[in-house]
Amino acid sequence: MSKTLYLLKPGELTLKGGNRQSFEAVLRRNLAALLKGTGAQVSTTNGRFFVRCPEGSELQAEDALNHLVGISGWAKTRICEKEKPSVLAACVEEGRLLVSKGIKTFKVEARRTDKSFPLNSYEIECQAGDAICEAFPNLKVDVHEPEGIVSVEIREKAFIYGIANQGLRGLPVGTAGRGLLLLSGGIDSPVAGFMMACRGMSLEAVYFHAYPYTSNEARQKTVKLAEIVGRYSLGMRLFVINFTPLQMRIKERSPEEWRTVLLRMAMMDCAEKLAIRRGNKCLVSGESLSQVASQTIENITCTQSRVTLPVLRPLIGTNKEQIIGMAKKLGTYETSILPYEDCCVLFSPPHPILRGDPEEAWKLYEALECGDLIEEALRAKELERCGYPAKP
Amino acid sequence: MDKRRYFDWAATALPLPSLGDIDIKNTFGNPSSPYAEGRQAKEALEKARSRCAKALKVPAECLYFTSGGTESNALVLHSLLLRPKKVKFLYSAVEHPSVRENCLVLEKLGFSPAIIEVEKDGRVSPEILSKALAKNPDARLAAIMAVNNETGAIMDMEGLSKILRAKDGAPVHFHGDLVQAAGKIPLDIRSWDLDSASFTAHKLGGPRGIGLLYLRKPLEVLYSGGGQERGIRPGTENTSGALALAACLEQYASPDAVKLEQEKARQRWGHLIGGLKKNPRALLIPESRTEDDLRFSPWILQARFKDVPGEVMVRALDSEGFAVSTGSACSSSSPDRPVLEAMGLDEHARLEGIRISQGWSTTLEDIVALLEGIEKALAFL
Repeated sequence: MSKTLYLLKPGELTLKGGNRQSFEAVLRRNLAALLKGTGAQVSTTNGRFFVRCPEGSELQAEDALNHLVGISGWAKTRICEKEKPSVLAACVEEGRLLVSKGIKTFKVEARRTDKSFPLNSYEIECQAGDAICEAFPNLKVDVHEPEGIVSVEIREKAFIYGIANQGLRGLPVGTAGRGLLLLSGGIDSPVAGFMMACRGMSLEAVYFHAYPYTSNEARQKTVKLAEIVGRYSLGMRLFVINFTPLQMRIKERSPEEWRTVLLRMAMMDCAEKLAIRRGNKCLVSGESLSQVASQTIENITCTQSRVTLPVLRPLIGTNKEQIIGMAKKLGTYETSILPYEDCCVLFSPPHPILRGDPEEAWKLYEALECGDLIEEALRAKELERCGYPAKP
Repeated sequence: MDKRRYFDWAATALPLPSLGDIDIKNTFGNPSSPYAEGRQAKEALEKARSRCAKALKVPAECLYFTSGGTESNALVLHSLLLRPKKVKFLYSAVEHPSVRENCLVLEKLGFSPAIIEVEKDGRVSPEILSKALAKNPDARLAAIMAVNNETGAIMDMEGLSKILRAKDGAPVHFHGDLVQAAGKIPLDIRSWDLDSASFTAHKLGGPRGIGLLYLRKPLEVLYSGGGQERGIRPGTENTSGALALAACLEQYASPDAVKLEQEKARQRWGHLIGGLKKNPRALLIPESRTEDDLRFSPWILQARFKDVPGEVMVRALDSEGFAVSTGSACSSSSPDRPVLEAMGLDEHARLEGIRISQGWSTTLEDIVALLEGIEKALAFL
């Protein structure tokens, strides 16, 4: 059976020194996990990863490569003997593909790790460029801003590819510990989770469900978001925690304007307890400074005051437009904007406190006496396994 | 949870068990086909039309089978597009989305509809209609429903039609959405002096996808096709649906049946309303509604519970085994409540409204259970 070959360029991990091998091992393991079920085989040579995929599994394999964090790019690649005529013929074929895509300008980029090849990199670029121009006179060389690039790599064999796809870059998931993502059905938190996955962090997630104040559709929406983010983070356990009794306690015992801040404090408190029990090293939140009343620096200080684990907020300095842009690229936006919002009428005060005093917040939180309720909520948690590549 | 109890009949009714007896095997032919199977189907269809006509006390030639209430309403409203001029028309502020939203479409197309406001009890009074007509003397159509699908408010159709008929100048086409009225309150299309009316089967225990349009005189319609239903609603006819609709109307829309069922329904609703009035957190919409209030259909009730959003109450009751809804099922994904807004309720109150509706199999025991379920849900909320 013929096989399609893909060449993958590792991303940031190439900058690693002595640890590079361990990063590569994680990347290879992740790649194998994402490719499970495709019949594809993974191999590595100096600085390059190769995937050999059986005919018929290409779409699945390419989808896996689009979800692999830690590579700067990938391309469907021709492989041939390290002989000049074969290499030039392969370059002409790649040129044909560029033409078929409507590309008008190109350049050839060559890299030669096997110095015994008779042409040096510059000579390969010149001769391959000439061969392509001769075959397709409408295709012009532009070395500064080409629309397409034909790449030639002379290694143990010659590898030639024209149309390359961008990778997600970052570091392989699993190289930066594991964090607990506070996931809601909104736009921000899935993006925050994705950003941490791109920094190599494995993820678990927690969702605070408040049925009947929150609909089951909202829960399903969050599960779907976890599925999408989980595809990038090599799977994600989502813990669903019933927060209704806590919300009711907050409503009964706290001043109206403080409800949102106190609810977030309770969420952080509960999330940290879960994180510690699960061995997660940090909390990840989708907060962005001053986006809403509970995200002013004063209120963030209040909500953070209950936890000792670091709270990572990758979106803190971004604006809504940027976050929406990222959510669209990630593929969560359309799900996040589904109209199953939490029914917060009872809990969202019309005039929430904007600059809460941490000391006051602490006192109000203590007065809630919600320790037992949090323990009960944690005991009754439900687990959803989301985005596992090998999920049947 | 012992058993599910269904209280959303205004959205769709439980199917009538007797519909299983309908002969669909011998009526499968295309009623337009010239051979025996086609003729047989045509005969069945016309028989169904006659039976509907008899139940509704209108001439059979005035009835056209459609796909349901929405299409019946749309056929009438869209016929305005074929008039030589973009005429003025009126519709009540509490109409079902199938009327209201089609009126908005016409507005986008350059028509200028005017809204007939309602009283605080959600009813269009003859006085309000008079004023609306005085303001819009060139109106050529008025769409007013007989029973409101969210509150159960019964309009004085006879009184309203008198106002319309007394108007000087060109006549006003009076269209009545009778979807929630048929089989629920006594219908008198002749006294109501309607020019057109819409019906649907699935609110009466029939299948979805079949309805009726009553037209006193044929209209020029926008859609064309194979000429079926005398060109008013072209498309291969739904013979088995028509037979089912006829069976439902016979069973529920005849005056005797309506009287009997309505009386039983009023008793049950009286119990529900009385029970809710004892609950300090419950409020009826409108608050003036009483246990045996003849201004309202005994099949539909709108209520709210202090500080509990309607959608939360719906979910809480769902968990307790009861199916109720917030407003019209046709707009349940929209947070807007135009009907309640028209009745003057503020945003907070509108958000709290839920609709409870009963049907042919509802029992007093169901009502007792519902009142308990509401107590239980409120204790938690």
